[in-house]
Amino acid sequence: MIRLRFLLRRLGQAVITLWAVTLLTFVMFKALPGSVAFGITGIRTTTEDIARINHQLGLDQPLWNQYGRYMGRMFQGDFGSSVTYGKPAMDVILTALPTTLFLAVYAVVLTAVVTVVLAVLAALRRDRLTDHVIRSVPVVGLGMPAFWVGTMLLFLLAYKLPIFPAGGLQPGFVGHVKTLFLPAATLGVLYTAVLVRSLRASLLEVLDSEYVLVARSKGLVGSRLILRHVLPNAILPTVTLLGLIFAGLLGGALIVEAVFALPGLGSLLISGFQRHDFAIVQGVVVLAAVAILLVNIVIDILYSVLDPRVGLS
Amino acid sequence: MGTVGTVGTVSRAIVEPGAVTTRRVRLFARARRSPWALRIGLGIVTIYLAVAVFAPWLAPYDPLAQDVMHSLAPPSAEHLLGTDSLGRDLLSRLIYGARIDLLLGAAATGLALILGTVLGLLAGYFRGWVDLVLSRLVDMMMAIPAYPLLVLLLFLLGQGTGSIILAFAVTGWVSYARLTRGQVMVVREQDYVVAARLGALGNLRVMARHVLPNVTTQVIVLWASDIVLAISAIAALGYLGIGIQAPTPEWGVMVADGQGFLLTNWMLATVPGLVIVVLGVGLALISDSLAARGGRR
Repeated sequence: MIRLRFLLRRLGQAVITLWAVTLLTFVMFKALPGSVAFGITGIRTTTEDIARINHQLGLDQPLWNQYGRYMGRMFQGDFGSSVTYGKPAMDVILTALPTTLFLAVYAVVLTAVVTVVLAVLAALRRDRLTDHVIRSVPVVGLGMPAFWVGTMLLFLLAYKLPIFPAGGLQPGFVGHVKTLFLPAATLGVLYTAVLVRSLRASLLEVLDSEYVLVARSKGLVGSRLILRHVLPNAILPTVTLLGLIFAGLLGGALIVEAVFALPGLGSLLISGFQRHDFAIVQGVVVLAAVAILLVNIVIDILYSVLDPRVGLS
Repeated sequence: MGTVGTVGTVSRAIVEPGAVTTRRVRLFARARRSPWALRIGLGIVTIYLAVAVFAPWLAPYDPLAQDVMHSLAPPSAEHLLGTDSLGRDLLSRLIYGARIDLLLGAAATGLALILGTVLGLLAGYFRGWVDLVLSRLVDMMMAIPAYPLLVLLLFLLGQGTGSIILAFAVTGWVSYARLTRGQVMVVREQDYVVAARLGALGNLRVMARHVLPNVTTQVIVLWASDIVLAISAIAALGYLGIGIQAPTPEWGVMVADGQGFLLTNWMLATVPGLVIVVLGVGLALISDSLAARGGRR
């Protein structure tokens, strides 16, 4: 009962936040310099052309009417028609979504594996050389720009040692796994730097707790202790962060997609901006916001399920 | 708490008898904890600042001077790091780039810091509707991924340094506001703040003299790590072609320019990125040491 009420309240908040996001993008785009008509017809545009296109798109109506129509369509999951692609923005977004989704899952899996391995190693060999080396990962990693890491991986693993393709996207699961490895690894390097420190800290906290002492006194050591008793209790904050990273990636990994020329939501967003394609931009931004809000709610629920000590309030 | 800690330490000594520190490890550990980390960090950042300030005297060439006859030249005595596709001296462009990236990074995060700290202070101190409005605003900002929002703002504000600073301030104030608000909510209930408020001191005075000083260390720690991310992001916008524009020697733009010539001269794309990474290490060392000093680990 409490859980249901909590869920409803969180959903209510999410809807308000989402409405604010749509209002923000609407206002911003209306304030943008340049007109949509120019984006469609290019530089040789007559005044009549502009008037005609504006009329077709309903851009000659009062702002309030435009906003009303927009919200009405939004409720039906319709972001309007893309002026550059000549079809519903939703369709265009849905064709780009799988690439981004695949990349996001791939990156999160790589990040999770590397983070857990490094953090467990550091925690087990606390204050020894391994630990100190792993602890300096964030010091170096946090300042690394994504586009540079991507370019370096491209240079080393696609040009110098031609193990991976240099960009683009091959079809099929295996093709995806192969072509998206370098982009996912780029994101993995950066996010591991963010996560490894906090996971190590919470592992150490659990290792110091009394029930781990009890488990040890019963003779439990090594991987069994870590996997059964320590990791499940220490990993919650990391799961939260991974969830947020995943949600953030659903808006498109702008930079990585640019480096590796991937046809995902990030590339779509950039080209949408450049061509004043309001429907596309609004669609991607709203989709990203929905993803982040949903993931947040799911994380809260997961927390209360996984750790009964956390109440929903 | 104390007993649990002791039990933990003792247990580790029992269960891990091999946990004897070697000399190498001790050196490493001491280096991390000692003021040396802070000194090295400050040293790195000082060098960068000096390079930015004295760029015209340090740079061997004009960073914009083209020499197409000697384009993509490998490192030599005349051009220590070689030249780019338009024959411009890479070293000179890196040196002048320090001016652009450091200035933009500091200004952008500085404005975000001021905005966020003030808003967080007001919300945490007055609570009520101020807090409510701010919290909703923070929720909304957190729901929009940072890069799409940055790009949206840049297209709205037009390109240029002023727009970049403003766009970063609009997206960046949130973390400062959250940090400050949380801290202030704790501090405002402390006896000395309550006493100051019960005395005839005005709200402004109480906030400035009794509340704000308790927040500054953590805000500065956040700032040091934020600058790294901001410089990285400014460079990323330059790389995407929507930040600082082409002829200007900006590190991100330089990586983007060099990417096409990886096979001819790999240094063009590599060195500007390394320059950012080293600066990042410097700032991370500073913020880590400050955080450790403030008791936060």
